[in-house]
Amino acid sequence: MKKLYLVILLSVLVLYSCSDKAVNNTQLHAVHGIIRGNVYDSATKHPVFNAKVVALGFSDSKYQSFDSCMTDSNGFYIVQVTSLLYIKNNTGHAGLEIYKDGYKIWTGNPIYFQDQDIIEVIPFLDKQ
Amino acid sequence: MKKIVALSLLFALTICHGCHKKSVEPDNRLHLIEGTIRGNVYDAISKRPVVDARVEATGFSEVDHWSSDSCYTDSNGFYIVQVNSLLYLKNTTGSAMLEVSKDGYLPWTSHGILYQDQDIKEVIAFLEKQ
Repeated sequence: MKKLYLVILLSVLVLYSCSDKAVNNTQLHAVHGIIRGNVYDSATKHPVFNAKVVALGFSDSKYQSFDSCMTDSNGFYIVQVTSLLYIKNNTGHAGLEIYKDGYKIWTGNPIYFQDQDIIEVIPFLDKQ
Repeated sequence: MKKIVALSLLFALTICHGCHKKSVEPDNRLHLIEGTIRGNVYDAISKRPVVDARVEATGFSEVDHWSSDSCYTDSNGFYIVQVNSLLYLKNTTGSAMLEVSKDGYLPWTSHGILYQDQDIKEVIAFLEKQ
């Protein structure tokens, strides 16, 4: 009889620990990052002014962050990204796209970041 | 036999005394940890620098002491401030808080900026319009 109780107790403990893990695995946390840099013409190496920079932050869930800006007179841009990740993961991943008339579209993917990281990405655009 | 018992007792008493001494007399000496926080303040939508925003930094300590420093952002939205924390000798990581304010924008705060002695931390603030 004692053995039976022991088996039942062990089974309950195993089931409890499994269910606990399953619940924890679905919990999400936000990881925020910043991507910045300067955009240059690949041939002349001059800054590319007024290029549109789009940043997407990818998640373990359906959530996708979006931020955009235009480069200034130095070709400088700065954008924010966010990934919603399961608790066990702490590295987010983002994609960067740059558009400017007369140039080919530039894409950078994946760009990995951890919480509060400031990642520097310097794109060189090719003329069309 | 008596000798063994006496020696064991003496040994046990020595160990207990050592432990007791440690727990009663903690090392409460303090040292100063100094750090620098710098970065730029931007408009969250346009990403243009926010000029003349007030930046205030507070450094927290393990005793009744906190540091305070402030400045205004320049034409590039750049700021630089100093923080310090008085910590017990065994601890080397200070904690600070940064507050940014500017008319027409919501106040921006970042808690728990951790730093070690002579660290230069880069913190970028994006302000949202009111």
